[in-house]
Amino acid sequence: MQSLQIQSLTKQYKGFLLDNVTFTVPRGAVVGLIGENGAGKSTILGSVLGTVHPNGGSVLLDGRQIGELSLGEKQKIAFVQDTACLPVELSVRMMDKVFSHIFLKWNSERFFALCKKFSLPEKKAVKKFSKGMLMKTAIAVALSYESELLVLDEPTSGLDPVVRDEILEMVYDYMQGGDKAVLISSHITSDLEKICDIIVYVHEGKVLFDEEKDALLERFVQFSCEKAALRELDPNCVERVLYREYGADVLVPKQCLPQGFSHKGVSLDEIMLFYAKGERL
Amino acid sequence: MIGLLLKDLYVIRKQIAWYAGMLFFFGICSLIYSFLAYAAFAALMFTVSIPLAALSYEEKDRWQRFAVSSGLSAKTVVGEKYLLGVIFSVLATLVFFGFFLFMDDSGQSWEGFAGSACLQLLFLAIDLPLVFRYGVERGRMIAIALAFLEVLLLIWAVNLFSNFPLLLTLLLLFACSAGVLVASFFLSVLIFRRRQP
Repeated sequence: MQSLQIQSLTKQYKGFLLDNVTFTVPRGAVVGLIGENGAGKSTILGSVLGTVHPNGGSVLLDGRQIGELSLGEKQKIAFVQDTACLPVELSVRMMDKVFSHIFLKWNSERFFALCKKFSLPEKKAVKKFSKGMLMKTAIAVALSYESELLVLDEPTSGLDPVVRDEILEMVYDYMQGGDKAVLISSHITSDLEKICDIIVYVHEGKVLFDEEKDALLERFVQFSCEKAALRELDPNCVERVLYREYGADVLVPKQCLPQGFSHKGVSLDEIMLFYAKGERL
Repeated sequence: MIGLLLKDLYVIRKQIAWYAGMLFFFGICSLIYSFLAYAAFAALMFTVSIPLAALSYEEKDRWQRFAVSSGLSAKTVVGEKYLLGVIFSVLATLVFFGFFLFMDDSGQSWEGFAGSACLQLLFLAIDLPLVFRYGVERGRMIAIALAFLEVLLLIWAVNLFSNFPLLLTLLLLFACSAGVLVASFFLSVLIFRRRQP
């Protein structure tokens, strides 16, 4: 069953076009949105959360337009923004009081339990927290009301590996709680490799691919060769070539791997690099 | 709405204390010098500054992005700022009224009192849409530039109603200010809906 459907989403800014983006976030899946800075990831997530007004297309939650949902239905989407967006003058205790009046299904017990788990002081103003603590607070808020879809915009950006790992653990925990779904954007693709089932790669406002992570990583291999050796390759079999000073790195579908080249697998980072900076043969 | 109000009261609690102190200080000055304008000015500052201070923190924290993502409607987010302004306008007017009652006859003028109270609503009505449209910094600058127009508007209204009985004048002044405030609210909602927080 589809939790979130994004259909032909279009948004035009000066010098940028999010062009006809279509993909779905099925229930029970973690979907990773990858792409370079400025590729359109935050615009897509903003359209889901209602902070960006698209020029065309639609965003459907369980088959209904996001804009037509009631407050209770809209709050089935939990979210963590890239800049937390919390009132940082408040302490965790004050936030509990405020959010208990904003979210219809707020769970104070769960909120304080999460804050305790993250070692967040209850009485200290959030503005005095470190960046990692601030992001943990935002995640504690997002996980303290009943939701069915969790949207995270660059939640691990700028954080140390320990905090990043804790945040990814929270995503795991969230998925244990029933028929839920997660849409997470990040340019730290190693994080997404750990937790995602499906990868949507956005490049210059367009979806380049949308497929299961394991299948994607299985689909391609890479090898290095002299530039002269490129002439021997079938252009139809080469996905992208990255020209280097010493030669070239070549991304090919596994079944097209030419004889005689020693190859290795590719990570999401490398696939992104090939598509962002590589050329067709 | 209650959650948003609570959030603002927590965030600007220090500013509230500061402006309340100013209101009492200028109120006492009014009594000492029998000059209503001191207390009137402080009440006006109190009313207008509170929602602007709250909006300024929201801008810094990008709170409105959070509020919209939480499913809160434009009417709720905008309406809360108007409600905050009106609550503090009532409080400031009550304090102002207290000083007004103790003032000797030379400083007392019911038209002046009502005019000052209505000016608070007019300032809110003009400042809030500007701030929603241009942000706190630019919006406040434009609002200050327009302040003299607002005062002229009020003087014109007071003169217009001057031949009417006192009670009717006061009621008309209040009704006009409240009407402008309601129209301003709908304008702010329209502005808020169009922009991306």
